[in-house]
Amino acid sequence: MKIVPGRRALPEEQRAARRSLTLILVVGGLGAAALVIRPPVPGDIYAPCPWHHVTGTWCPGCGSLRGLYRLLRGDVAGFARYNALAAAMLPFLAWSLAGIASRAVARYRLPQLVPGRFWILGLGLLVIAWGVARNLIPVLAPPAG
Amino acid sequence: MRYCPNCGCAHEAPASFCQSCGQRMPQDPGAAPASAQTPPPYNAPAQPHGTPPDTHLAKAIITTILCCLPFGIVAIVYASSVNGKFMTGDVAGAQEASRQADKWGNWSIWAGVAFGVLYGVAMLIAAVADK
Repeated sequence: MKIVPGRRALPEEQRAARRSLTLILVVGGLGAAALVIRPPVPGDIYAPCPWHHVTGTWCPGCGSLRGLYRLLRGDVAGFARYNALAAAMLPFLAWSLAGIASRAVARYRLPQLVPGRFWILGLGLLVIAWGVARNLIPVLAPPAG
Repeated sequence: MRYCPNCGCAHEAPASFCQSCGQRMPQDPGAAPASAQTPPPYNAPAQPHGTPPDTHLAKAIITTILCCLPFGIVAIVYASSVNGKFMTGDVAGAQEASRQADKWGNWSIWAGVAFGVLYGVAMLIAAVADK
């Protein structure tokens, strides 16, 4: 773990961040609008998890769409009920999003926590372990409906 | 015209510090290392004391948990090798790993979006055909 201090962003970095931010806002906005108009219910128009559909077991991401719908309504605990690992990543993802917005708008790179190799590989293993655990421990699996 | 040894930005006027990244500029252009005289690409610092390339870890996490697990795992493996390569001086290797992590994350996102959209369209067609 290493902290890279904040600094003024390069013009190239600002341009790249503007592209990313535009894409995130467009795709995220369309997705959020779809979820508000048509809340996710199993068996409805939204694609089911292909993994769950074929194997019948829970994958590390199962429940995320229904969880994101709860998050959209401001219900973080609801998000955690559907996918606790995804909810646990929220602070990191929020900081990353703030970093992109800051580079795009203020041309400033926020300080960054740079995890070393073993932290990142550990995270990959954690995701797989989470996928196994939620098939063994019912309370970790996404609730029905 | 002088170039910042950290980020490669060009500066017309003599400056003590790079206006882009804050790196101290070499005071005497004649005494500066040769690498500071030629403009490197902005993301290719001559020495590994700059900022390591982006690991695109957020993208890898999102795609692993929310979307396409296999692609996301590949992105995580590439992301994990970025900083190690950078710290040992393998800047080109670190940049390549960064690009690969970015690429696999992007593919994963677009595969997920495409699957979701195709599935939604198929469901709509099925619903219309039923009527």
